[in-house]
Amino acid sequence: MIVSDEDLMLECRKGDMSAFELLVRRYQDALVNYIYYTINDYHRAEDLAQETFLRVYKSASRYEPRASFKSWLYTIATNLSRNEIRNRARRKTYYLEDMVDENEDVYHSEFMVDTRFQPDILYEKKERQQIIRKTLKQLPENQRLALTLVTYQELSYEEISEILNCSVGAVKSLIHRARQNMRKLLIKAGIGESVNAQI
Amino acid sequence: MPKSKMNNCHNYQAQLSAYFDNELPTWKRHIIRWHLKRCPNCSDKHAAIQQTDKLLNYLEPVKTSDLFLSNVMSRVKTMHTYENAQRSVLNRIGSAVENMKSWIRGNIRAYNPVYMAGFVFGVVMMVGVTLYSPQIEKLNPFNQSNAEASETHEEKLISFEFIPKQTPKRFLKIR
Repeated sequence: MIVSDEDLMLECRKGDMSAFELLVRRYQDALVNYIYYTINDYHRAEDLAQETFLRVYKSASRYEPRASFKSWLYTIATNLSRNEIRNRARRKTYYLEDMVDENEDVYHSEFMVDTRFQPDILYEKKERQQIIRKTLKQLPENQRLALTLVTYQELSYEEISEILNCSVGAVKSLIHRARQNMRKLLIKAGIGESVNAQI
Repeated sequence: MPKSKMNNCHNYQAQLSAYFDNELPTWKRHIIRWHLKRCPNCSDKHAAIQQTDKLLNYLEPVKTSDLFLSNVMSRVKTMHTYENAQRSVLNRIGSAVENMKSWIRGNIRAYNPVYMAGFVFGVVMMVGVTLYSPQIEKLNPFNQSNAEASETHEEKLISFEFIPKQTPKRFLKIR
């Protein structure tokens, strides 16, 4: 039997650390990925994901299962990501990922895989991923957040509206515009021409 | 393409993302599906959305480092112990206040008129002293500022002019 997130959180409120550990296990990968796609810096994404879980633990005593735990968790992560993006813009900080094109896979375990027999395929794949990541980064903040939440986290429009604090209609148009812009940028970057239609 | 059809298509196209994400009610999905079968323009746009999504899914999810969970749990434990320590300090203060209250209740009998009178006198004195503090410096005769003040007072007295009575030089003649 799978225990729901809300029940685990209620257990956590009583001081059960194992319930909290289970929650972290459940969401750690998804959360790090979400923040990583949003801010495009792996190490900072891990830090912010840790910070998100700490905030969850801190406010566990006040937790009331009114909304879904997932929405609440992603709301905290979104706020932290937004702050990070603004701080970076204010400080004009440049990260290694932004400056060097190929080195991003240093952090991935895949880097260690023996690719001697298929270097061209792997290279092409990596290059394409790099372009997509850069393109995603060019989207406006809200569009990027909405598109990341719907594509990679597979959240519903209603959950996204709770996270971004806007109406479902606004989310609908945000995602539509994000896909339009993404399409244009991908064509400009040289991939995604096989279907000529503009969204 | 006729203008009315374009408008119609525009309405459908605005819904295509939601259609793709399966966020529309069933009846709307049926209508859009039916329209997509007939309209090549909208069908192309739908295909473009599908392709964009496919490209976006090219990104492989990153793996969290092995230390992530242990880091989170250790930070949580540290926070937990810190909070407990803080709570114990607050508890200690709370118990001290409770002890003081019980001591006051046990040792001071508030209903005793002598205690009451003493308490009221003390309060009145404190309020009086605070509001009307006595000017001790003015009462001190050896205070320099007081002596200076008295000298200036004398000088003022001496500086009064004495006008002697003078006889008039001419008298009025009365006929």
